[in-house]
Amino acid sequence: MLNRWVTSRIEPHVISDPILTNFDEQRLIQLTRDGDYDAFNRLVVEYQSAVFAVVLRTVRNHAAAEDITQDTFISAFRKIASYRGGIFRAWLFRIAKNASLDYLRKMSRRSETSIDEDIVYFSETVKDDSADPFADALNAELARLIDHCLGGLSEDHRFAMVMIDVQGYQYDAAAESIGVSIGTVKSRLNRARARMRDCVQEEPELLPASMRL
Amino acid sequence: MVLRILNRFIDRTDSSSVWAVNAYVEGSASDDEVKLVEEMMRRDPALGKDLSTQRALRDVLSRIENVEAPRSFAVTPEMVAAAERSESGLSRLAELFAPQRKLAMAPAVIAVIAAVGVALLTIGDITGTVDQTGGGRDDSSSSASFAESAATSGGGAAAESAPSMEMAVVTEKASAGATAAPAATAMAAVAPLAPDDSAITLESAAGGGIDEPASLAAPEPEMALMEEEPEIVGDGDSEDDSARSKSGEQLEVDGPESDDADTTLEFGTGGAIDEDPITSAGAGTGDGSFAGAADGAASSAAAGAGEGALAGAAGGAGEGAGKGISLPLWQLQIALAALAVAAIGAWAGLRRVRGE
Repeated sequence: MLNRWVTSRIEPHVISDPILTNFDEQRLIQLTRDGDYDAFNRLVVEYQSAVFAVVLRTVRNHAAAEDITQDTFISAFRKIASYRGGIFRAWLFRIAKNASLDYLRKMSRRSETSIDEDIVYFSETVKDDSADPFADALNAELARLIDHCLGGLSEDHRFAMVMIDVQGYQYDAAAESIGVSIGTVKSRLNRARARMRDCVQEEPELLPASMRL
Repeated sequence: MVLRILNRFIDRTDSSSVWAVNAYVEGSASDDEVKLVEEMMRRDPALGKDLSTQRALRDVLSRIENVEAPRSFAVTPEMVAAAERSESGLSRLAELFAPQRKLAMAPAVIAVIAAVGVALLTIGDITGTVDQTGGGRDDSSSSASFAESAATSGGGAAAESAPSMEMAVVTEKASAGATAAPAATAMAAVAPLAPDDSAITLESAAGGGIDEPASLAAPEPEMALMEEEPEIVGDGDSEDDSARSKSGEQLEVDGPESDDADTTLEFGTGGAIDEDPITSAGAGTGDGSFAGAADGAASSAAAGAGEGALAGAAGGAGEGAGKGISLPLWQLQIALAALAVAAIGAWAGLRRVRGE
């Protein structure tokens, strides 16, 4: 089945605390500064899924997301000396975000983005436990519509929406990841939501009743 | 208003109501925020449905399944070494100029400022408000000296020199002087050394007495000599040619080393042009550049070398009593050097911004 929807999701916006304690994390960072690959790779294991998810939803291309994620960790290892405290995950996200934006700009110049291919990846990640085939099909179309609208957002707005509405991060973490103030993140998210709303309204037949104006 | 524009420029909104709306959509609004949003909905009934849509949309987005890493992204020494090898010199250059990504545009801004500065200096030189007199100036180098024409009084015999870029100014003043005094006006034009299509047209606004044009061919090597008088090219009628040289409206100067260099000088006189020989010297080099000198009654010497857009800055040497702002050459050189460095940084920074 292409789509796996769930009727409900338990605490969808709560990101589980890292297994590593802050003390462990700082110790691993210090070891990484000394060139310890094993220490850094423990951090990689801790954050690779989160980084990959954000990158995938930003660039909307699986292969590119893998490359960017790998490059993110390589770059993080090389530039670990420039990490000066704060949320380590946010620092990683910032590197990933910059790499993602670089990729998107390259693609926009080359006009090589393949939306159709990417939509599949996004749609597959929408889950639902419904056993209704009709609902599945409708939800699949909705997922494609949402993916299309998300792809139509500007890079900054999309990243804010992915970080907060999709990944469920708090504003402060998102702001530190993006490198802007919390107020800016809120404003971007507000505009992103408004544009998403306008976009999905273009095909009202796909929307649930609660989303129709 | 300013704050609103500024906030919009940095992609922020200044309204706390926006944040209240966000919190309302997320279901985390405080009591005050709920009251504020409800008040907004009372004023705008469509807002309620709008926010419901956003809530539903957020709910859909929140149900997007978490993505797991498809493979391990562990870093190995080989990967790091490969990355360091593949890092281009351009990337290192970009990081040198803009260590932080948000500052990547800084070199571009600096380049623009430097370019404007150099442009202002050059324009100032062209318009005659800047005197570029470098310490340790060498006439054979690129220092430039600009002196205003002194052909402003009867029989004025002030020696003048003018670099190429000031030719129009000097000529105009010389012409004005000629109007007042019969012995004052003389002009010289110097053909470029090796331009192909250089053409100069100088027009002065002095009144009356312009009868007919005269052509003046000025062999360049001779023109470089102070006392050499250009050969007047006419129709063979010495009287006519002489008359043209006196009250000539148009002088055509052809440089011997250029095939089609055509320097046309137009000026009007008050009909009182002294027959003193045109004594001038000038030399110009460069594409599209010109050089010239105009003097009053006595003599003038000028050598100018124009180099494209920066001709006034880089070319020309002369002597004379100058007025105006004195600008040491080294300042211009520093400005040019800063411009070059900033331009390189801007190029690298822009590439970095673009993700290259």
